[in-house]
Amino acid sequence: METKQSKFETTCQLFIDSVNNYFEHLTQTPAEAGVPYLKEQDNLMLKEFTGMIGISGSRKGFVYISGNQQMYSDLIELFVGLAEPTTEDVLDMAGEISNVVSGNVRETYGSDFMISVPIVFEGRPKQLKFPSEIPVYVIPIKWKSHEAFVVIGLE
Amino acid sequence: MTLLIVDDSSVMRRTIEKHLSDYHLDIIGTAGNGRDAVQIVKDKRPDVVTLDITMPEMDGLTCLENIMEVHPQAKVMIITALSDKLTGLQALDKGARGFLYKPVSPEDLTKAFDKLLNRN
Amino acid sequence: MNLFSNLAIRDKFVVIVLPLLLAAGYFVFQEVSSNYRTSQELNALFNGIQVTERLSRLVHEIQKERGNSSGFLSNAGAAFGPELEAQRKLTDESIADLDALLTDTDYQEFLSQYKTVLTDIREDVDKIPSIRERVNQLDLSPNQAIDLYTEINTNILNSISTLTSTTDNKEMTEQQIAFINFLKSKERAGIERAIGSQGFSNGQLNPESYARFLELVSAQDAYVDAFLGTADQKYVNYFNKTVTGSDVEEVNRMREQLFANADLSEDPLYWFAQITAKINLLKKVEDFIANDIKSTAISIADSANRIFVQFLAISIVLSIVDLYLLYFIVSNLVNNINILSAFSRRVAQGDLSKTVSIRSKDEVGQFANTFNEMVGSLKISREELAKEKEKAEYMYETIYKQSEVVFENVQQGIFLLDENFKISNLYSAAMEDIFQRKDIGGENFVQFMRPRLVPRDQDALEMFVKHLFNTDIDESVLSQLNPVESVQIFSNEDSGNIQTRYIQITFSRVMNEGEISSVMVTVLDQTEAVLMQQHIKETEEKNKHESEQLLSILKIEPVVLKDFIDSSKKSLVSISERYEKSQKSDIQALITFTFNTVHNIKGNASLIDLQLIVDKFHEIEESLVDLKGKNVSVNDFLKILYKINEVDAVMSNMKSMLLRIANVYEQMTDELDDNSNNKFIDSLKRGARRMSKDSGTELNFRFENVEDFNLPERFKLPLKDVLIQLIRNTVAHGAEPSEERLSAGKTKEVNIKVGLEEVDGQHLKVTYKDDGKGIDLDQITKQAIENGLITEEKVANMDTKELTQLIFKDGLSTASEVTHLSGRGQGMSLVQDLTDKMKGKYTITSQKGESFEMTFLLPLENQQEKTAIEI
Repeated sequence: METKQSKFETTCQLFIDSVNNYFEHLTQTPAEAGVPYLKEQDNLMLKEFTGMIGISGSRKGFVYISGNQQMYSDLIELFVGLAEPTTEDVLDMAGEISNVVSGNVRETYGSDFMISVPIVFEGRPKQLKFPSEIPVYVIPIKWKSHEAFVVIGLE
Repeated sequence: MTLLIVDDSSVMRRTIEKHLSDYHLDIIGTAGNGRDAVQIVKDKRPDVVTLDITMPEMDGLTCLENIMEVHPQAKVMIITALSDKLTGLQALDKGARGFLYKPVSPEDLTKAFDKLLNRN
Repeated sequence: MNLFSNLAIRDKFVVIVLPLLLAAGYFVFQEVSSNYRTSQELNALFNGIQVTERLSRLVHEIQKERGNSSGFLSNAGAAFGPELEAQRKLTDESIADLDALLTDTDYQEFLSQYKTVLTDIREDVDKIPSIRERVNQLDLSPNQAIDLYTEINTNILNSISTLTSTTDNKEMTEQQIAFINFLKSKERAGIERAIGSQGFSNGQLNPESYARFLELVSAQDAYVDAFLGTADQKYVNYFNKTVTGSDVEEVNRMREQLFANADLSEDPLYWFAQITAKINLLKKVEDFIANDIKSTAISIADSANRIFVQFLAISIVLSIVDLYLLYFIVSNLVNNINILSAFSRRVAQGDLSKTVSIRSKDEVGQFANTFNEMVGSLKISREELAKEKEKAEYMYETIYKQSEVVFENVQQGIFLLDENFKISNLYSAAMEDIFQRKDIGGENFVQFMRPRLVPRDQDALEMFVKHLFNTDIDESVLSQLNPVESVQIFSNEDSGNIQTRYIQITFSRVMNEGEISSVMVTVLDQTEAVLMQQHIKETEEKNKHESEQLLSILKIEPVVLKDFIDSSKKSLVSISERYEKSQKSDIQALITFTFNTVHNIKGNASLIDLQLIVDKFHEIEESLVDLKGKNVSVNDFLKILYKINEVDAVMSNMKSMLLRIANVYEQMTDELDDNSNNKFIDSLKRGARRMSKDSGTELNFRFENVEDFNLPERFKLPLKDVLIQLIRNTVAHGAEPSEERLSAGKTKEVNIKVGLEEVDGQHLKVTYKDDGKGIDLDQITKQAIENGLITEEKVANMDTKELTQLIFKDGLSTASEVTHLSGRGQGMSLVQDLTDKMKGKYTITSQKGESFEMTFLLPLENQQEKTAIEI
């Protein structure tokens, strides 16, 4: 039980570090992580755009990062210099962040922590099924003035 | 020198393109999955390929194997978020010449390209 | 060819020189024999000419006999009778001469070659007597007689050319031919004489004779022309000089008559005599030529002979000299080579101490020099080699040993990997400590690491090490993928325990001429650092928890807290008790019970504001909420129980802390007032006690009001020093012996009283008072004068107050001996200084025999500081 507890902590920490690294490395502005908390599956936190990664292998579950359009637009402008991105671009950006953040976790979990290609959506999809009986952690983050959620559901 | 950029994210492809603009590489194509990438390599035989690993249709490592089969001289630079060592080593085993972990800053990319192209 | 290369040098020379010598000998022989032959030929020629001389004389005589015989026959015996008779005798003489020569033994060898010719001549000569007989009987016509004699002469003359044709000397041959032509011409002259005699005898030549005569004259001229054409100039000159004069002209005149062949009236004897004279002239020329040829032949033969002898001699001498030189050269060469080979044998055996000396400057000599140079440089090389060896030994001794020492003592594991991933035999001793294995050298690094790593890293390491030797991959790119950059390794101890170590392994390529020759591997044992870090983290966490707990405890009344903890623990125990008794069916009831209990405790904690505990129970509540209405497993209960247990532990910990704090409070009650003057008082009390003990003076040291008074920090040290000094003075100067005190009605012990009080709200008044004998002004004055601090005159004008001031003079001491209590004369001046420092004032009141009192007034002006200190 203690291992489960520490697992929760380390897992959260890993994702917080990974998100931090992403923003710090690419934008020189770190993302502030809020206090993580547990959340019921049926009422998950979603912002305007979400990139979700399925996890299989040594651990099973999902990870998603959800943020508002403006955050993604800012990033796209910074990376590509494109001031008015299309919805497609924004979705793409959401997918890429979730991919990089969960991909980087493999440095610790190794190649058995298998990640899917990003699943991206706008708003709240009608059908969003998660494997039941897994705790879902929500890590609120704040980058510049943008709020976002990193949501981790892992066995 | 010709370049092919392979990444399932179009934002990422454009980012790489932008970061490499000083290299005066002739970008002969971009691909969003491994299968398209192999076809372009077969047709246009680019000198350099940047290759993502996590992609739909055909993942990057399989794509790398196919590229090496049809065009073994290609200098392939893996650019991936998969930060475990084994994936990197597997890529080297399959013939990749360079390696970069996402997130990739402009400096990361130019440094890696300096090494890949032996420029200093 | 092999045979030749195996020959000794001496023999090689013989093989080379012998054909040359033979060839030279052959040519010498050729030359010598040619000369010899020439000489022989000329000897033969000489002999031939000797014989020719005789033969030509014979021909000459036969010619004359022919002429006489022809004349005798033409005149039918009437004329020429006596002349013929005389001539026949001359002919016979010349035949005898010839015979004498032919039988001469010296000529036999020469003549034997011409036997046939000579036999023919002999046979012809033998015909002469029968011809003479027929002439005597007039049995022959004149022409017949001429023909018979002419036949003999022709044969003889022909044989002469044979006899003299033996030489190869061209000049000689030419002159012989000229000579023979001359003889033939002369022979024709003889016939002309005979036919002319016929004509003059008969007055006319018959047609046959006339024809012969014409032919003879023209033949004569032709032979003379041939002679003149080929003969040596000197013969021609001699001929022209000799065959001239009246006789020749007479013959020519009578010849004209004979050409006319009419009325030949001249006396035939006259003709005969005239033409004989001419023939004699011709004979003279013949003799001259014969003699000349003979002498020429002799001189040529002589010189040929001489050349032959000289050549032979020179050849012999040269051959001897040659052979000697050859012997000398070969011997010298062989000798030098022997010296060199002996020397090189010595060099080969390693003796480089000597040089070889060969005097000759030929190739062997040069070779010897080269050899010496070589030996010289060999010597230098050997010396250098020796030096290098020394250096290498030194290097081994120092560097290798040093590196061994380094390898023995370096904390890191260091070794080299070859391209087969083998660990080098030389590795640092730390390796064996880190990996708990001995004899690592030669092991395959990947196989070696395999059992020590988690499976995930095993394959990665193998791939990684493989790429270490792949030049296509940049080292810095590769180093990002080092899977053992920081890993846990598991090693089996001998005891069977599995020990975990945290190590860092780094790899760096060792390049050699663009190739990766090996890879240097460094292993850093971080176990202690990692463990230390973990320990620090744990300790920090624990401390954090404890201090959190402590803080929360401190805020709450101990009794309230104790009550809370006790009742909460009881409630928690009740949960466990309930679980124990529970049936599987009432799981939801259990959850509800647990929730209610926990919620209740949480509420209590919240009431006393114990947030830490509130949070903990809130966590449990949340977990319980999750379980409500669900199919709960035992595992879920364990999770709750674990958390409850955890809170329980926290509360137990709080209780023990509470007890510890209570203990501390009890112990510290006296000393808790941090602003008290206890320390100040204590140190003064201790000082007084010590001085009393040391001096044997009994002291009763007391304070007045000091405990109640808040002494500013800045006064504490200087005031303590001042008061100590004053106690010292009391002990040293003021205190009387106890008997004296008792008789004066004082207590046995000296009483000292120190008082502190605040006056007018701005000053601190410090009073020091003893009941000693007071200041002895006489003693002080005396001492001051003695120490030269003041003059007597001055003293006389000073009042008591002024005199008292003398005690503050630096250097004044009234103590009879120097002790550690007094006597250095510094004491009171120090008091003055310190008082100044505190910006204070003092007054001294001394009553002789009664008391000494000193009062200080110190300013309390710094109110801010005072406030700060109070806080």
